Amino acid sequence: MNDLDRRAFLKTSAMAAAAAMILPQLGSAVEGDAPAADGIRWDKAPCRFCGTGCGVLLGAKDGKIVAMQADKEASVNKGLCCVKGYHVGLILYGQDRLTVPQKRVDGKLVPISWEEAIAIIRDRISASPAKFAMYGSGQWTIPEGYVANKFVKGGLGHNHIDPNARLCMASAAAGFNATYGVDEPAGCYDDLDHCTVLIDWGNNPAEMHPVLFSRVMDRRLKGDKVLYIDLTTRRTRSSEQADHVAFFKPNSDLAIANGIAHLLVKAGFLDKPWVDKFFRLRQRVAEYAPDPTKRDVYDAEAIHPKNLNGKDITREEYVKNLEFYTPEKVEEISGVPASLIRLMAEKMADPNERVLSWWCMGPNQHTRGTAMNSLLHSIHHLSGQWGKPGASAFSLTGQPSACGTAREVGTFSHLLPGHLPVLNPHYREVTEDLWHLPKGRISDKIGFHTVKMWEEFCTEGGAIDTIWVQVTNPGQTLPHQNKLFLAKKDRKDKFLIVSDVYPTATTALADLVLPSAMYVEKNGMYGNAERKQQQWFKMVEPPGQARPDAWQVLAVAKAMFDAGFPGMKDKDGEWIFAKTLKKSDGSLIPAWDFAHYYDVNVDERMFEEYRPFTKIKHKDLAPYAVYAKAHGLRWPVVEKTPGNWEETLWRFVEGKDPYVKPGTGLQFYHSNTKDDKAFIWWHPYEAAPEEPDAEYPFWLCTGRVLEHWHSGTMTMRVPPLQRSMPHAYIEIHPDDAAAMNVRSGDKVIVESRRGALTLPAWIKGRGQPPKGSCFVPFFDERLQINLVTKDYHDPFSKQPDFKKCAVRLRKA
Amino acid sequence: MSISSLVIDAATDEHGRQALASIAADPRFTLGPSYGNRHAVVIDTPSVAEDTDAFAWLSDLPGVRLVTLVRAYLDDEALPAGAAANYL
Repeated sequence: MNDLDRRAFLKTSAMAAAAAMILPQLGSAVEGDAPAADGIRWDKAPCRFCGTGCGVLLGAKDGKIVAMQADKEASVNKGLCCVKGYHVGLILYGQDRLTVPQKRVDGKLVPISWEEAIAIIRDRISASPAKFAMYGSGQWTIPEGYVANKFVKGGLGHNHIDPNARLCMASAAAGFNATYGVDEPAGCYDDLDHCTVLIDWGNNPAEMHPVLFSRVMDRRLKGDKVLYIDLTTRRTRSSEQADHVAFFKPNSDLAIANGIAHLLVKAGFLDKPWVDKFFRLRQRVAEYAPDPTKRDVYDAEAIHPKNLNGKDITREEYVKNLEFYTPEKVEEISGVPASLIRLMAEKMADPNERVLSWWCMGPNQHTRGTAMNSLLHSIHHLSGQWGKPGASAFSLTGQPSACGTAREVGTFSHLLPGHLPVLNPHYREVTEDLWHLPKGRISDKIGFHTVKMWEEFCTEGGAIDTIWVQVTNPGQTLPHQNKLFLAKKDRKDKFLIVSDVYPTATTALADLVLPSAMYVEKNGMYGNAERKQQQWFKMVEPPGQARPDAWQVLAVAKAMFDAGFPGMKDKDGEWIFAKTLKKSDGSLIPAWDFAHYYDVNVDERMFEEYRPFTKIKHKDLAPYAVYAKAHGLRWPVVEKTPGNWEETLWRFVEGKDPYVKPGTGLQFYHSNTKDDKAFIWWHPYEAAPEEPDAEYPFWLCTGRVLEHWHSGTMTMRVPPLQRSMPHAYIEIHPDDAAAMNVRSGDKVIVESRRGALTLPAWIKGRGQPPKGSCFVPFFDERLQINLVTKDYHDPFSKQPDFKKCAVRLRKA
Repeated sequence: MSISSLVIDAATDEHGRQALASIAADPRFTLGPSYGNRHAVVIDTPSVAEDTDAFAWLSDLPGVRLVTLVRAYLDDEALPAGAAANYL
């Protein structure tokens, strides 16, 4: 086929694909199998970027990804994609892919063999295993996270492994656990198709989750009535579509939620039958001062996780606690008009409405993140806006497998696979049994959470001397970079290992760099924000000597076993991964030898080893082979009839959730109080631990932009995306800019008590912060705003607050 | 070469009609079948960068309320190295 013919052919095919999307009756008959005739082999995968979990079809030809299309069979995106997904195939082809292992010698990285790299890691960990930590991410595939988790918790016998998901949704997980006794949303994206009121809580879905946002906006374009309320700290692209936009003072979202609860109580909602039947009124054990405007000395470690479940309070106590939060008082605290507080309460009180609250990093990256997440669930419980399609409180995620790998596989330092708490002796025994480990191998101590891990690593004589980073970029994404990352520089007693696909701010300080295979260069599985697991097969070869992260861990584990490291033996004296990697004749498949890694589908073997864990907390997953055929399934996935696996859209609801007993209506079967009840929480509003003052008079908020994903490692290497948003900037209110004589493009120094950064100003740009505040995105490794942010974190979730700190600004 | 297919939601007022006329007159675009306010569009440009420019132009066009991608064929243009990994 010549170029002209091919071009005409592709255009015809492209038009057919678009037409099929709007003319459903044409279906696949229009689309046909035309691309295959061009030699392109199509296969399914979830998008590599955010937690939405859009289904895509990638087209490979001559060993390279050359095309993509949105997957019409994917229920998440129904055949549509955003601008990042549009370019997802290009992320594999940046010119500076890491292709060989490298060791730092005299300050420079020099190529070494894989054998030498594996031996270095083996020796480093074996010399002081208790001082080793692993730092991964919600971009680990499920099998990768599982292998790393077992390597550390089962092999090294401690729990110093944590994902970067600690930085993005740990507060959501803590909020779910505190409220339901089990993690992850009860609802799903289908709620977007049924809601009549949508409330954004510190969220910008038009840029961060555009496909989900368009799903609702498309309903409105078709004439559906959906009232959209945007509660935000700055005007965003989402605000442009909102019926009501209200700017709230940072940290005051708790007061807003309490204001709604106040009005619901006044309207008699405590007397509604569902309140006593399904819920308990609750507050935290450790009390701060009752005056919500009083500034406390903030001690993030003061509250032990055992207090997460709080204590019962009476109706009278609950009512008394809320008395303070009149709409007018909430307006005074938050800046949100009392009339809007009343409108939200009225909508929630109306049984004919279906109110959906959704949020992402705003309530999560918050020193009161667990409390705020719990309050969001609670106002839905109190109002009855729960358990019906469209009536839900839904927490979005930022990474493709934050739920699947970080939360469900339990790669957090306080969890075991299946989201089982490390502190529970029964779950430690269950894990030891499933892993064939000697009794007592699993440590009963929670490992270091992210902030603590890096603090120990960056401190001379600290408890961690070696960290192995996989699939993430802490040199850019950790808060308070001078303290938590850059302090590692020149410390001879510290050793940083980084597995990645491109050079990053983290590899810049690494002592050993390992080239990783990425995305469809390997098999994989991700779990998205609505409990959906999606699987894909390897489609193309990785460049050079790049290899999968799971292989890297298996190779080190086997090298340690061969060297006699006792932790790498199970209770039979076999290598801890041996039983899962055997052929039917009992011989071991040498998957640690890369030449034989693909002799077996390691992903499938590890996933099947993991599956029994998922049943313990009713997060049942289907066999791997089912996911290989399906376009994603939401757990719990149960086998209704032999070979017929059904997903669950709404949990805890009779008739929807297979584990709810008939006749119960709602059943919270993992209740913290063992009585099938969830909680309605009371939490006070408290001022942020650092607020603007005379010395640092501005609020700083940080976040993301549409074109770039997280630290930009991938999207900054896609030319159109890089050109569309080439560098970071600082958004300032026009009045504040005028006071400093700053115009768009002028350099501004933003400075906190922790660090400073010079950035170009963008006034009246895409986002518009209110007077007295500013915003900087974190995607640009040359302009790192995390030099400025603080590492204060939520006492329960240990998630840092990237969303608010005090800074001063001046023209450079 | 870059070819991509999109679905656009156009306003049903005069702005929407003018937007469709602008798209029809632009050689980068081929306007396909419509259903209600939704229209199939194909972008054909020499490079991915120009394709993205066209996408952005469509997104900003008055009368176009939503643009979503369905499929993209990408060319082989070289990609740049990372921004500045060794900035330290």
